[in-house]
Amino acid sequence: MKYLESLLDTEYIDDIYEIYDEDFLSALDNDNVKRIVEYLKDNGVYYYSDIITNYLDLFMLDYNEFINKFEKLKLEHTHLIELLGCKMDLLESMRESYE
Amino acid sequence: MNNLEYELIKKLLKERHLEHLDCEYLKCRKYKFVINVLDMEEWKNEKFKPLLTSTIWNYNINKIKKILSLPYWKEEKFKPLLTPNIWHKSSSEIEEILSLPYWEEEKFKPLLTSSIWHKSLSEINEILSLPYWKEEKFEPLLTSSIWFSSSKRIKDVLSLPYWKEDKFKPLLTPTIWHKSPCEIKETLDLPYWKEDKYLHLLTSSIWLSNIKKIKEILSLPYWKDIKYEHLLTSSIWSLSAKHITELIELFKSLNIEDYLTPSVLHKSAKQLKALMLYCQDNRISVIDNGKLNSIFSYPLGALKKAYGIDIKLLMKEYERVLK
Repeated sequence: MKYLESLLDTEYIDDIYEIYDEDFLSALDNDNVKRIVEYLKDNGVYYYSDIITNYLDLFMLDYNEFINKFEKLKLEHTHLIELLGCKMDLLESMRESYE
Repeated sequence: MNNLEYELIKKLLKERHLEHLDCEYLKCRKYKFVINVLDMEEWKNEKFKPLLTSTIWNYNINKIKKILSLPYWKEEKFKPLLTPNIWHKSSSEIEEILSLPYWEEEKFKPLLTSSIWHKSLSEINEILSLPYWKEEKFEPLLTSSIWFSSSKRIKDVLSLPYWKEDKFKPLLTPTIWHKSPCEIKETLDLPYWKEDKYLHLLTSSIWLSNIKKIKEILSLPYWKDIKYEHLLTSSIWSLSAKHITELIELFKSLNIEDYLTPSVLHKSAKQLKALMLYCQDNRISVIDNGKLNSIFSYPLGALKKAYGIDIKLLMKEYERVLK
């Protein structure tokens, strides 16, 4: 959480603490989360704070696995980045595939 | 301690832009020793550069030279081991570890990470010679996190009887090393795993939770009702039972519990409630085309941009009702 606390506004951090279990939060790997966030930023995902807040469990995936799943989603949806900006639920399929 | 000598060392480090190598221990070192270490030809080799950290001053130049001259560093597979942790070992122990026959086998190669230096030769041998590694089902557990467990603990986990059952096999992932054999046993002995509807919750993410919280989630009354069963996905382990209850109760209070989805469970109850109140006040239907209105899946910034709805402002506006 250290990295996320330095990255996100306090309102997002409050939401994260409201939604997620504390053991889950303490198991997050700062470096892995940071690499995924950098990847999202490089891809123009300007709403990454919302993705972190609502899909934080996906940040538990290993960086390479996250990238593979996200790239796969990009192939399935043209203009994925714009689309996710109004339909974040599309990320749900990334959850399904780690079950 | 010779202050003058230390000042000279500091000056030398500054001249060479190596100030990061300054440390308390350096105060006990001779200028000559420091310059001899820094002038070693080996540092010209890129692969050895990560080893030049302030911990190096704890060792003598012969040990440093001996370790760096080992023939193993020519092999690509051993390069991840070149980290400052290596200095905790003697050159003979490093040699003995790297000459173990296991490193010829593909399945053991992911274990070649710097965490290996936390273990002694005998412990490494004991772990890698366990008969369990001959079984394919246990191979996913061969990751560097294994080095943080003792060989007894590894043995105790792998000898548990559950792994004979197919339903528990997806749990054999490296996150299992976060748990003690007792915790694993307690989790897998839960009666819920006898029911089909809970079986798909048996994924590696369960190990990120603990037995108390697993019990809290699984004992929630909602799962007895078929209409909530689709909410039982493995991402539930990242949530708290309190949050799940709050969300379901919010939807129930508005008679829209049929529209709950697993992704809604990952939203803030306060934000959802504020947005629902806004919809109510502005005659916007919360349910649209048989689903939760799409405004509920907008990122906050996009919601503001597309609809001029500022959730944070709404939350302040409805503060009294939300409390």
